Amino acid sequence: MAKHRRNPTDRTTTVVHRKPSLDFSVTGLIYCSMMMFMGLAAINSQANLLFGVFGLMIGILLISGVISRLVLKKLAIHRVLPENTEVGQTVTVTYQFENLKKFWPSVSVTIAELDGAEGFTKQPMSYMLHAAGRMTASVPTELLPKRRGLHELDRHQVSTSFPFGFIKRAIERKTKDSLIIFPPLAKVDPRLMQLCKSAENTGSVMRPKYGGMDEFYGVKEYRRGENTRLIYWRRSTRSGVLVSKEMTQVSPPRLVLMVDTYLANEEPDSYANVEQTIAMAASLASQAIDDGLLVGLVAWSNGWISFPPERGKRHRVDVLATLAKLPKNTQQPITKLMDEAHPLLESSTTGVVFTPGSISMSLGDRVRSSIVIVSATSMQNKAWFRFNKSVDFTTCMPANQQPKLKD
Amino acid sequence: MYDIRQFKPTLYVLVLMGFIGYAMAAESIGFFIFPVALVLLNAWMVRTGRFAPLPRWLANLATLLCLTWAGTQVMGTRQTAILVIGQFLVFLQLVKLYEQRANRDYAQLLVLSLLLMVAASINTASLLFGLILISYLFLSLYCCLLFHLKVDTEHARFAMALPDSVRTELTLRQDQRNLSRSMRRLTVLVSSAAVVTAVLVFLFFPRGMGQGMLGPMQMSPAQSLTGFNDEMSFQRIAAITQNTAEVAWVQLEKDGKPVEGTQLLLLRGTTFDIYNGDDQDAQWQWSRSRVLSISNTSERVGTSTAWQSPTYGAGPAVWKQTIRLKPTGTAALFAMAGAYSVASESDLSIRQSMSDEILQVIEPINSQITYTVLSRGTLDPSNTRTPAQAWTLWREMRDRLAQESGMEQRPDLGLRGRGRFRRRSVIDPSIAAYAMRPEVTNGLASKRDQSAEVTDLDEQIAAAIERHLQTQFTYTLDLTDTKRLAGQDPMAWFLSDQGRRGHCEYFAGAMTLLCQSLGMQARVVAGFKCDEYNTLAHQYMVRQSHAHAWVEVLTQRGWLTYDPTSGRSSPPPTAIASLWQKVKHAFNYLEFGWQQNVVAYDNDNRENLVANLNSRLTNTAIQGSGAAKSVHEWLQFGGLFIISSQLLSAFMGLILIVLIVAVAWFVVEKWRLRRRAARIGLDNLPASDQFKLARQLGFYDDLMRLLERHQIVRPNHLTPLEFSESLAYLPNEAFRTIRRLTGIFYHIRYGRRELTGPRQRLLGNVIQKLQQDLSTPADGQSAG
Repeated sequence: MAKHRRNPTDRTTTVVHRKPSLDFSVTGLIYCSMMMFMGLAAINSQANLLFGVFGLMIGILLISGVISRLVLKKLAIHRVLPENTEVGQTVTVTYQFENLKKFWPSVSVTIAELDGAEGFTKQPMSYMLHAAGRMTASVPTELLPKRRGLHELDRHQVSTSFPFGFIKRAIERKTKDSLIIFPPLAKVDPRLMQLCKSAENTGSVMRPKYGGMDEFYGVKEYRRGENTRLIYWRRSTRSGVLVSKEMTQVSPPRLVLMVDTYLANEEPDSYANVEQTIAMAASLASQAIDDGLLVGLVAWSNGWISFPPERGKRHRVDVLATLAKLPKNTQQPITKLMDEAHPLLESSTTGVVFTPGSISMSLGDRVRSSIVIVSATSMQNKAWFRFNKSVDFTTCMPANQQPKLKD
Repeated sequence: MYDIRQFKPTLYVLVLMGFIGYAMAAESIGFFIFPVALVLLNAWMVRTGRFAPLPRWLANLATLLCLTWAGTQVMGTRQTAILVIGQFLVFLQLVKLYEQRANRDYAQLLVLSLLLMVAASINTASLLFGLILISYLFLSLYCCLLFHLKVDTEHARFAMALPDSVRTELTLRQDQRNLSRSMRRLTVLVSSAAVVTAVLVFLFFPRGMGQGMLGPMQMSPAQSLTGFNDEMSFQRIAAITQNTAEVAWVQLEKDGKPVEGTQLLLLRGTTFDIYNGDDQDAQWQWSRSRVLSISNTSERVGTSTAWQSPTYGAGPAVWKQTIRLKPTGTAALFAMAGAYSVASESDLSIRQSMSDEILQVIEPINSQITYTVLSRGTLDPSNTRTPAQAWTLWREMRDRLAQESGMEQRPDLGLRGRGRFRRRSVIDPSIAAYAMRPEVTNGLASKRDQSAEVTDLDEQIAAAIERHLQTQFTYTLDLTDTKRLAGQDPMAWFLSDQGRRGHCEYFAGAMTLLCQSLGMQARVVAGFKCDEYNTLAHQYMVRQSHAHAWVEVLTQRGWLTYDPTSGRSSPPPTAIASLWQKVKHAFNYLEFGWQQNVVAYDNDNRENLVANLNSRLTNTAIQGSGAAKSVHEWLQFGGLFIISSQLLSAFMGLILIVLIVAVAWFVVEKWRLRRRAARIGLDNLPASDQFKLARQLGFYDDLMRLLERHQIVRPNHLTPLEFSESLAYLPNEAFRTIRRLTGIFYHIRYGRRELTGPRQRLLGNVIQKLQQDLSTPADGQSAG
C-alpha cells in the first residue's frame, strides 16, 4: 500500500519501498465486506449454518494476523554476497532464510534491502516461498549494480501477507554486510595495451634477467646440486660432459596508472568525465593485471595513495577497490598528481595518465616519453575502451557525489 | 522455482464439492451429473494439455445468457429464488472453468464456489450436507492458502524478473520440500482457530434480532406438507408417502414410563368430513366443514405456560408426547387422540377444534418447533356432539362471549374454511347402493334408522364396514389407476368391480362415505402412522412416508377410530434392531442431533447456555472461596504449626537432596559427554554442538570402546571411514555392521541427521549383537 512514487525521468535515485509494520490490503477490505455481508445474511435469515460461517470468517481474519506474525518469527536471514562486482554487470545475491522454529514453517516471505539500495538499479529484494521448520531455503536474486563504491547493506525489511493476503506485516532487521562495486570495466583495445608495452620498450632496461624459467638463455656446465631437469641431454651426449640449460626471467612491463579525478566544475558532464576516467583506469588495470603486467596506481583519495607496480589477483582487487572508492576531488589538479607519481615512474615503467580534461600529446612527445595519456574527452578513448551500453556515467558515482541532473 | 503444483487439483476438488453440496441441497440429480461431468472433462483436458480457454467474448455471452435464464426463472416460475441463484452460480463456475487463464479467473472460481455453498446452506439443513460443508470449508482454507501463495509467487517472479537460469530444478525441489506438510499444518491451525471462533459465534451470537430486515431470502418455505390443510385434494396423502423426508421426532411416554418402540404411533393431523364429489371448483376433494373448524379461544403457550383443554382432562392412561416438528408449512399440530394439554419450548398460539379435537396453531409452522402433548390415547368419550350440536354450541358461545366483552362478535372464535359452505358430502348413488349390500354391513344397514344421527347399531356397522374393506380390497400405492378415472368418482370406482384396490385414502374415504350414506357421522383423519423407532435416540422418527388416512365414526361411546386400510398394518415394532437398522438408526440419530443442536439452536438455547455458564462460574467461585476459607481456618489452627514446620523441614530436605542429585547428575552427564566428545574427536567444536553430537553419537563411542576391548584401536591418522574399511579381516557380519554404523556416524556428524530415542536403543542392540559376533570366534578358538 505504501509505495514511494518517483519522477519517471529521475534515474539518479533508486526507489526504496518501505512497508508499514502492519497494513490492511484491498483483499482484506473485500474480505471484511464479505464477512459483514455474511453476518447480515445470518442475522436476516437466522440460519444457524450462516452464523457458523460468519464465525468462521471472523476466526480466519483473526488467525491471519497471528500467522503472519508467526511466519516472520524466528526467521534468520543471511546474505551470501560476492566479494565484489562491477557496475553494469549482473550479480547474483543469495539470501538464506533459516527457519529456526521447530514446527511451524515460514511461507511467502519477501525481503527488501533498505540500506545500500542506491548502489543498484532497483531495490534489492527477494522472495522465499517456503522454509519448513528447522530448514534453510536459499533464494538467489539478480541485481544490476549502478554505482561504484562500498555499499553497506545494513537494514532490511522482511514482510509477508501470508496466509490470505488480508494483513500485511513487516519488520525491520539489521544485518551488516558490505559489497564493493567496482567501476564499470570495459573491453580494452589491444592497441592500447600494445602502446603501453611499447612505451616501455623504448627504455634501456628491457634486458632479460638471470634466473627464472621463462626463456632459454644459453648452456653451461652442469654443477652438482643443480636441478636435473635442466640437463641438456642431447648436448651432453655430444660433448661427453653434462651440460645444463641456463634460463632467464623476462621482466613483464610495468605500468603506473595516474588517475586524475580533479573536478573542474560542477557540471554534470564533468562528473561523468571523472567517472569515465576512473572506469577507464579500472578497465586498463584489470586487463593489464590479467595479462600479467605489473600495475601501480597513483590517485587522490582524501590524501594521496600510491600502489607500487605489482601483479596478482589480490593486487587487482586492491587497485579496483581503491578506484571504486575514490572520492570527489576538487582540490588536487593533475600537476600534483604527476608530482606524486614521479617516484614510481622509474625507467622501466610506463606511466599512463587518465584525465577527465583534454590533454593531448604530440607524436614527438610520445616517442620521447614513456607516458601514455588517456583523456575522457578525446575521441580516441571510444576506440580504446568499449563499455557495456547499459553503463551510464552520469549516475555511476557514489550516491553522495551524485549531481543533480537536468531532465 | 515458485511452482505451486498443489493448487489446481485442490481447486478442482473444491469446485466439485461445491457442486455436490448444491445438488444435495437442491435435491437435483441433474445438477450433480451434468456439472461434475463437465468439471472432470475440463480437468482431463487441462491435464493432458488439450485445454484452450474460451474467448472472453464467448464467456461473457454465456454469462449474459445464464443471467437472463436465471431472471426468467425467478420471475416466471415458483421455484425458490435461492435455488435459482444457485443454478446460476453453477453455470457461472462452469463458464469460468472453461475460461481459466489467469489468477483473476481462479479467484472468481473460489468466490463463486463459496457463494454456491452459502446458497446451498440456506436451502438445506441436513446432516450430510453439514458434513460436506465442514469438509468443504477446511478444503477451501487449504485452497485459499495455496492460491495466495500462487499469487504471491507470480507477483514475486514478475517483480524480480528472475531469468530462467536462476530457476533451477534444485530450487524447485527446495520449494517443494515439505511444502504440502507445512501447508497442512497451517491449514489445521487456521481451521482450528476458525472452528473455535465459529462455535463461539454460533453459541453466543444473539438470535432473533434483525430477522428479516433485508426481506425474505426464500420466496416460499423450503418444505410444505400437503394434505394437512382445510382441503385435501385426492391422493395428496398418497403423494407425500412417496417422500421419506423427516417430519418429526417423537418421544413417547405412557404413564410416566418411556415407550421403547413397542407401540404403533398414530398422530392425528386434521380431519375432513365433506366430500365434494364432482364439484367444478374442487373436484374429488375432501374438505373440512366449518363445523369442524369451530374452536375454543386460541391460547398462547410457551415455556412457562401450557394450554389446557377447558372441558376435559386426563383419562385412564396418560400419553406424553414430546414432539420436535420440522417446518411443515401448515397449521396442523400433530398429536395422539385425546390431547388435553400442550406446552411448547417456543411461543405458540394454539387452539383445539371443539368437535374433532384437532390441534392447530394460528400461523403455519415455518420453523422447527418442539412441543409436549398430554393425551388420553382415545377421543373424549363424552364428546358425542354431532356437527349440528357443535354448530349450535358454537353460536351460543359466540353470543355469550360477545355479550360479556361488549363486542358484537369474537373474531378469534372464527370459522375457518374457504369456498362455498357445504353441509353434507356429495355421495355417488353407487356408493349408497354399495352400503346397502348385506355383505358390507352384515345386513345391519337396512335395520338402521337413517334419520337418526347416532344409533346403537353404528358401532357394529362401522366395524363391519372396516372388516369388509380390509378383507375384500387390496392395498396398493400404484397411482396410475387414476389416469383411467377421467370423469369418474374415484370413490365409486374404488368400490366398483374394476377398482377394489387403492391406498389409504381410498379405504378411509370409502368407509367414511359408506357410513355417511347410511346417515352416520363419520370423518376422514389425516395424520401419521409411525412404526419407526430409533433405538439410539429412544424416539419415534416420523417421516412423510408414514402419512396415513383413517376414519373416525360417531357412536354411542363417542367418536371411535377405525382403520379400514388393508395390508398396510405392519407388525408391531420391536426394540430389537438388526445391524443395518442399527447403522440406519445411528445415522438418523446423528441427523437428529444435528437438527436439534445445530439447526434448531435459537435464542432460548443461547440464553440457557449463558445462564448455565453464569451459574457454573458463580458456583465455582463460591466453592473456591469456601475452600480458601477452610484452608485459611486450617492454617490458623494452633497445633498445625508444629506439624507443618516438621513437614516443611522434611519437604525442604527432600527438595535439597533432589536438587543436589540433579546438580550432580548434570555435572556427571556433562563430564561424561565431554569425554565422549573428546574420544570421538569433537573437542574442537563449540560446546553446544559437542554436547548435542556427543548425545547422538553415543553408539559410535560404544562401538570404539567395544573394538578397544578387542585390541582394535583407530589410529589418529585414519578417518572413521578409512578405519572401518581397514577392518576387512573381521568376520563378514561384524565388518558389515561396523561399516553401517560408520555410515550412520557420518550422516549424524556431517549430515545433520538426528537419531530418535527408539533408534538409539536399536543401535545399542546392534552393538550388543556385534559384541557377541566378535566374541564368538574367540570362544570357538578357546574351545578348540
